[in-house]
Amino acid sequence: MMPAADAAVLMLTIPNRIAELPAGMDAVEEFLAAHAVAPGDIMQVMIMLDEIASNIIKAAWPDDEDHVFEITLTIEPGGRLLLIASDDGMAFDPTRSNPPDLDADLEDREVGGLGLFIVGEMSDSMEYSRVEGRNRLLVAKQLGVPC
Amino acid sequence: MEVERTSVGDVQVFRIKGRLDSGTSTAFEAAVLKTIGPGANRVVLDFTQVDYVSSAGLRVVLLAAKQTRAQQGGFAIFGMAKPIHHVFEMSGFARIIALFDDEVAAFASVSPPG
Repeated sequence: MMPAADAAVLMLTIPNRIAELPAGMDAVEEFLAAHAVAPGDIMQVMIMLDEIASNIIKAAWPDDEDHVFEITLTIEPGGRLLLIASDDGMAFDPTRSNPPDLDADLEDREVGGLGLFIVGEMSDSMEYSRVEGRNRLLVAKQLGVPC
Repeated sequence: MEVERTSVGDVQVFRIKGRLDSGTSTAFEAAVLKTIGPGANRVVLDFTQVDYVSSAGLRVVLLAAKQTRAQQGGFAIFGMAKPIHHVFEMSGFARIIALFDDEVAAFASVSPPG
């Protein structure tokens, strides 16, 4: 997909180590603030990025080698934000993960499985494709909509 | 992320500043979970200065709540901004974790009766 000519774009290459993630998060926060994105939207985009990037870091590569993945953020002129994650790890479709049991009591509530559910809740759409050995996740969110 | 711990009577208060996400959850977990045990089972988290909470932070909150419950103690969070409260609602946590606007109410909820 080609962004519109006057869209704002941020491209990041992030190593597959959790310790490297905060630097990427900082860059995203600066980018969003520089384009006058509202604090509530910035917070949601940061959360979505943390969920998506940490999933890739933890699950995409079974080896202990160094890898990198790409994150691209695009703010379209109409205020729609596109977040694209691309990695060459194992095929994984995040749009098909099982939802958590939101009604469980404290004792029974399981600890995991929330991340991708939260991305789904905070975004308007999630599309996954596997192309030429790469996972590609496209998440779209209209900015400026009160939650 | 920074965590400052103070004890007021039987209650341990953790004042958290910054992001609770996958980059900080290990430090958050170490700071909070290690302190919960027999006789140290009443915990209040001050979220006044938390920027945001992702599922990695929610995981630690859930573990802390479970541990204090298992020790017959109490667990409460106060002072979270509206967008963070929204995250707790969408994840079903607002129903199982005691959330308060102010510190006094949070303290009262975890304090032993009498």
